[in-house]
Amino acid sequence: MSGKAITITGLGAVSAAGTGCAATLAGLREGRHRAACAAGVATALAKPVFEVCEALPGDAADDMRTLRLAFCAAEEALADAGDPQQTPGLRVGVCLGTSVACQLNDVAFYREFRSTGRGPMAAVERYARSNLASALARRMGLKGPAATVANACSSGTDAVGLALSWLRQGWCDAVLAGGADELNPVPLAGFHALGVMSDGPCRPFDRDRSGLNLGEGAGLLLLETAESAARRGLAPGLRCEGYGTCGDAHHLTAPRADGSGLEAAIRIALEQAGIAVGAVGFVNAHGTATPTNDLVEGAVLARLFGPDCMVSATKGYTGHALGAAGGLEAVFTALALREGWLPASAGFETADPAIPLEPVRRETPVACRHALSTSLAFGGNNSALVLGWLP
Amino acid sequence: MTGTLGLLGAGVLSGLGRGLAVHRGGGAPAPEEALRVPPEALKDSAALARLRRADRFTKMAALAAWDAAGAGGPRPFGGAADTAVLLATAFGPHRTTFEFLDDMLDFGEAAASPTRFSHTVHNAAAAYLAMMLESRGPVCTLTAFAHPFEAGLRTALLWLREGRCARVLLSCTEEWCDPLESILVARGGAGGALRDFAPFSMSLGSEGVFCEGSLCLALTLPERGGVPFETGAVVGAASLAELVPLLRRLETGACAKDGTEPGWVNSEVRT
Repeated sequence: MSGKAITITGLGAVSAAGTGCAATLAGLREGRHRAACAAGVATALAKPVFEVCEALPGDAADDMRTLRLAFCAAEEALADAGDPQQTPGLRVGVCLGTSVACQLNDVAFYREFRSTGRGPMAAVERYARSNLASALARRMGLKGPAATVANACSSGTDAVGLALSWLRQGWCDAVLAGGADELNPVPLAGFHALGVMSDGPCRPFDRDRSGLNLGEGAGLLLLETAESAARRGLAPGLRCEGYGTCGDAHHLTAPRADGSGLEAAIRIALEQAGIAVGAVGFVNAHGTATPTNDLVEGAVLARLFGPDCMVSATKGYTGHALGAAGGLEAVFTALALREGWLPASAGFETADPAIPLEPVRRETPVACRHALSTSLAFGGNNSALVLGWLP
Repeated sequence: MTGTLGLLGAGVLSGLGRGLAVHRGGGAPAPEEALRVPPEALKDSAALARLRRADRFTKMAALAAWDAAGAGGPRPFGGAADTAVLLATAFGPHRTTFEFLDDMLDFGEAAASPTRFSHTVHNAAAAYLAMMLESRGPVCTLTAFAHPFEAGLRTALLWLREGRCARVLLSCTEEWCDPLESILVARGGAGGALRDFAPFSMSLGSEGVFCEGSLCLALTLPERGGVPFETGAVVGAASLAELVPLLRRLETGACAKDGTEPGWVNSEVRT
C-alpha cells in the first residue's frame, strides 16, 4: 500500500493550548492548563472544559463556532504553506473531520420547534452553511475534492488519512486536512450521561485518572505531493507517510479489551510508511484519561514498541476536542518532530501498575525521523498516522 | 475520480418496503406518505439480533446492508478484515439527536440517556454494520448535504484501488423526522427545490420530497468479480429511480467472473 512521498507544507492549530502554532508551542512549553467550567457554553454542568478564549475569525451569527475554529487553523496552515491556493492550476482539496458540525445540535432551535412547530431559520441556515469541507473550500477558494468525515473522535485522523490517499492516487496536488470541533451543550450532556467526564483536570495514563475533559479547537495540515512542493520551491521537511484504520466490530462505546483493532491499524500505518516498529521515535497517544481507553492503548503501545516507548499525551493541554483531536494531535506530532522536543504530559503524576508504560513526565528532547499519532473512537474506530521528518 | 467497480450485491429499503423485488418498477411516483419506511419493513429478528438497542436509522442501514452482503444466504459476507464499511449521509441520525434533545429539555441535561447519546453520533450506524457482519476492516462515515452517495462511491473506489480492502459495503442512508421536514418546507422543499440540501433521495420519482430509506451496495474491483459498472454513470444519481437499471442488471445480468451467483457476495475474494 505504500506510495509516493507526501509532504506537510503547512500547519495550523487553535485550541486551549494556544491560537496558532507559535502560541501553542509556548503554551505547551509553559505547561499552560486552562481547564475551567464552561464560560461560553450554555450548560449547568459544572465540569471542567478546555475552551478557546481568543477571538475567532468570522461572524458568530452566520457561522457555527466549529467552522470559525476551522477557518482560524486553515488561514494559518495556508499561510504557512505559502498560500498554495494562489498558485494557478494547483488543485487543492479539503478533507476535514468533525463531530459537532454535522448535526443541528441547537437546543434553542429545538425548543422553539417543540413549541411552535417551526424553529428559527437562522440556526438552520448557520447549520446549512457549515458542512466543514464544503464551507472551507468555498471560503478559501479551493477547487479540489472536498469531503467531511464524521467518525467521532477519530474524525481528524481519518480525514488526514483520506487526504493522503487522495494525493497518492493523484486526485489533486494538495489537501487541507485535519479536524475541528466546538464545545457544545449536547455532547457535554452526552458525555456526562456516559459517566466519562472527570470532575477535575484530566490525567492521561495516571493511576488516579477519572475521565476526560471536553475541549475544542482545530488542527489542520496542508498535505502536498513532493512534486508540487518542489515546483513551489519548498524544501522537504515534514512528511505524512502512512495511515491505518481498522474497526473493532465489538461495541459502540468500548474498545476491544485486547486492543487488536488498534494494533492492526498501527501495523497498517507502519507498513504504508515502509518502516519497522523500531523506527518510531515517539507516539502521540490518544490518551483520553478514561480508565478503559488508557488501559487498552497503553497495553497496545507497550506490546508493539516496548515499555520504554516514548509516549506523549497532550489532552492535558487541550481536553478531548472530539473531531478536532486527531487533527490537533497530528499537528502536535509534526511540531515535536520539527522542534525536537515533547511537552510534559500534563496531568500525569503517578504510574498505573496496570499500564506497562508511562508518558513523558517533563519536556523531553527527541531526535527522530518518524513518529506515530493514534486515535480511538466511538463505534470501535482505531486509526493511526505515521509522520516523518527529513531535517 | 471515476472508474469501474464490480457490484456484488445490493440491498434497498424505502417507503415501498425492503428488497430489490419491491423496487423493480422503479420511477413510479409514490404518494408522499408512502415514502416513509413502514414499521413492518424494519422487523427481521435474524438480521437485527445484535442490534436490538440500535436506533431506527441504524436498523434501516443494517437491513439494506444485510441484503447487500447476502448475509442471510449461503455465502455469509462477514468475518473479514479485508471488508470495509462506508456510510454516506446528508443528515445522519437526526431523529435520534432530536430525541436526545427531548431528554435534555424534559429531564434536564444531567439526566439524558447515555444510550440515546451514543446513537446520535454519525458513525454509530456504520459501527453497527461492522458489528453485525463481523467486518474488522476500515469503517468510515462521510457527510455532505449534496450527493453524499457520490462521496462514498469515490472513497470506495479509492480504498479498493489502493488495496486498503478487498470489498466495500457502501451504505447510503437517510431518515425523515418532523423537524427536518419543517426545515425543508421552510426552505422551499416538499415538492419544491431543496436548494443546497440534496441528499441521495430515496424517492421514486417524486423529486424534491425528502424521503427516507437505505441503499447498500457491496462493491469490489471488477477483476475480482461482480457486475461491472462505471461509477461515472451513477455518481450524480439524485434518486433511487436512477439506480434501478443498475440494480436490475444485478438481478438479471451476467454471473460474476468467478461463477458466483449474481446478488450473492463471493466470500472467497482474496486480496
